[in-house]
Amino acid sequence: MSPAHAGADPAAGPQRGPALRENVRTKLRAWRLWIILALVLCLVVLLAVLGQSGDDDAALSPANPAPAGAMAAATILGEHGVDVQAPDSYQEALAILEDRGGQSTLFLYDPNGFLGADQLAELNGLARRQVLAEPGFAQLTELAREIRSAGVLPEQDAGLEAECSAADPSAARSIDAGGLAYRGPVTCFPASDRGNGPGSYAANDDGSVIVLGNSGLLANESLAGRGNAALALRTLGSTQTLVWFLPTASDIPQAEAPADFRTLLPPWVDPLLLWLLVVAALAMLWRGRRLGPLAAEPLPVVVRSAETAEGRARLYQNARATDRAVQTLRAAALTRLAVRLRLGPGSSTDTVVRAAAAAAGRPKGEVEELLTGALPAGDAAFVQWSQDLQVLEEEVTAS
Amino acid sequence: MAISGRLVLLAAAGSVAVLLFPGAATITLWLVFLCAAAGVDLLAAASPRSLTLERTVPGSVRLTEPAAAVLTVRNTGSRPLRGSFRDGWQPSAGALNPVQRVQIPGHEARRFDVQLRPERRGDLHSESVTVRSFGPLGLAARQRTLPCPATLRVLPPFHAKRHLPSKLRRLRELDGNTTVQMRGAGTEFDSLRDYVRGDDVRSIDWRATARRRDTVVRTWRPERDRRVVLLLDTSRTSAARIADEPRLDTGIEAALLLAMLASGGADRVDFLAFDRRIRARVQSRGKGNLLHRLVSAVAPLDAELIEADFSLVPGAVQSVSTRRSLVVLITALDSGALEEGLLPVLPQLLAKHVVVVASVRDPELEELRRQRTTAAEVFRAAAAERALLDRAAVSAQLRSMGAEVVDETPQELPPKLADLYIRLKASGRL
Repeated sequence: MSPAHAGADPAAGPQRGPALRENVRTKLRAWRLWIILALVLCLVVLLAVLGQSGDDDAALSPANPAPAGAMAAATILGEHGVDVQAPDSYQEALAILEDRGGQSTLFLYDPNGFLGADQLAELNGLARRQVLAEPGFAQLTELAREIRSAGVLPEQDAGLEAECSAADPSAARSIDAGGLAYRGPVTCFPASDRGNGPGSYAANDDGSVIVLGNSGLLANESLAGRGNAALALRTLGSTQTLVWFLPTASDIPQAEAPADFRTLLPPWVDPLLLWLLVVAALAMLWRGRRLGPLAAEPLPVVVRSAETAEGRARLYQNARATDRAVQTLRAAALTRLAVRLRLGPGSSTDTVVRAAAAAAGRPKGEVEELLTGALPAGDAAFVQWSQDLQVLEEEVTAS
Repeated sequence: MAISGRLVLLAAAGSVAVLLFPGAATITLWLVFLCAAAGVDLLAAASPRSLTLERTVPGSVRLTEPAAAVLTVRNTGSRPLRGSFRDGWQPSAGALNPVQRVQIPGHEARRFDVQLRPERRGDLHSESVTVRSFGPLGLAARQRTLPCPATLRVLPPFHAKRHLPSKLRRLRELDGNTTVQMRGAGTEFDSLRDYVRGDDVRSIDWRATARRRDTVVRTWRPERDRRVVLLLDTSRTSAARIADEPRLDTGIEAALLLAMLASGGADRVDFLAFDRRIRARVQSRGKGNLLHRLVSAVAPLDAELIEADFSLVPGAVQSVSTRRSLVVLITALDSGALEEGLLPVLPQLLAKHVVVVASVRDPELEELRRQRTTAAEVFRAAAAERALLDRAAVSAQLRSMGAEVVDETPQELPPKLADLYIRLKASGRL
């Protein structure tokens, strides 16, 4: 509070500032939990919004710079004068293809099979060249009738050699192995051990339909390897326009979408569920409201007294300090025996041994071995020795 | 505010309406209805702010004994209060009925007994009372926590009290004060009296007999008005729990028994609790019942996790008594703590006073050293033996310096310490 203000109101001035601040602080402390919760909620919402505005992370997306994306290939194609179009929906893709009037290349990568047979058939023949990456059976049937699927190509370090006369593959010479194998009128990059078998690249005779068995060729992380880039760029960059179409779930034809089960339920279910939610919230409020603040209990320190001894025992055991343990047990036994045999604190070990042997009625050598002999070797001997020592003590005490 | 189960039931009844007329309108209407009902109820409820609370708590109670805290609730408003309250005692106060129903008409007051069964020694607190006031419909309540601090001092149980009669009897026997025909075994000359048959002939005072021409014997009594200074260590070593009781509590029992015995033997008892500073002090000159002053002083003591500062002991003893006294140190025979703390100052104390060091021995160590069936157990037995040897070494060192040592299990420590006191008194060493 400023001095001028305090002067204007001398009675209330001196205490009101601190009291007010104290009051505000108390209120803040009472509402602390809710303030923190609100802040956390804001943060979560903010992060979600920021996360959504980020780049798309679909595999082989021309706008995805991640290792699995294909931004590199799309950019290079763009730099070489190819107009790369990435339609967001099937309708858009169709419109672009029809607009270019059969002078474009269609690149289709639909590993989830979102497009139905009718949609695929509609796409067929709209582009001068159709490039399919790892197509499934439906896509092959509609778009590449002459090419058949032929299993899986194992990934291997060696890579695949072109071994055919088509222009693009022979320019690329070798590519990475992996993905699926196909067989067509023109088959290149066969699996090396199978000679003329199915390969990673298949095309029809005039090169208007090309199937790439390994979609990884186009990914940012492997584009630079071997002849991957040559094959990809030559295959996709033969026309002025490239339609890079990655179908999404929203392209699933309406008729094929599963019926919404909620339309089967009676109309009162939704409102009732909503109302039960309200009732549950009220019940939580009813049971959850505590009658007053928690009472604090200042707990005293609780330390078991034998804890230190047990800690020391564990140290002995971890260090395998049998010698030290034996010495301690012997010293304690000798002390107790000396007291029991009334020998006084200054008596020598030999005196105690002789007196103990006499009291227990055992040969002196045996008692001497127990009390001053060699260290027991191994755990079993150690336990046996300590029990023998105890027995000796009991015998002396009983005598 | 708070709501009741009735409001939830009312809301659940709304699901029938939603079932019959599904739609947003029904939901909204029922919600509005609920809110209105709860709002009317809240407005009609008595304000908890208009209550004044008053609490009567017994000043102190012995541990294990029940107590009743009386709460008087006065409703200064005109609306009747219906609802419940909760007395905010801390859990170890053992409140049996902290939550009770209240019904107080306007401008009236009611008394409520909150039964307490304390589970711990010390000062137990209740900071506040929370009142929940329902409206006439019993749907929603106004809730407020009203500050009403109260403290209940729970005194140590003094179980060792049961040893007191027998020890006092032995003390009186020393006094020659009993019906038994025997000479008092004290050492201080008391008086002369006529010889009666059965008196020890060795106690005949021949000089007085010659003067009186009648056989006269001397009587003896134990020394009186000696000073006993009890020092209780509340440092980290007293926090150790032995046989389900902290070492500190056993020390308190022993100190109480010795204090009662010594005051019964007409000695003057001073008590000090210390760690790095003096934490409690009871003086022999003080007014009032010694036992009451002692238990009130030790009740709030707790073990502190700091090292004891034994260097303040000579000064503290000096400030209590400049004469030769019996100084009883109730501490732990812990080699590290004692060697560095007590041993340097012990000669200074021994030069002037009789010093007794009392400590609780852990019976668990004895058990540990006997179990030898596996290698782990034998190592544990060795560690226990090491601890026992260390204790024996420390007590031997203390004895060699001239101090008396009492090292006993928790049950045995108070009577053994009392026995030592009687022995010292009988031999006139006080």
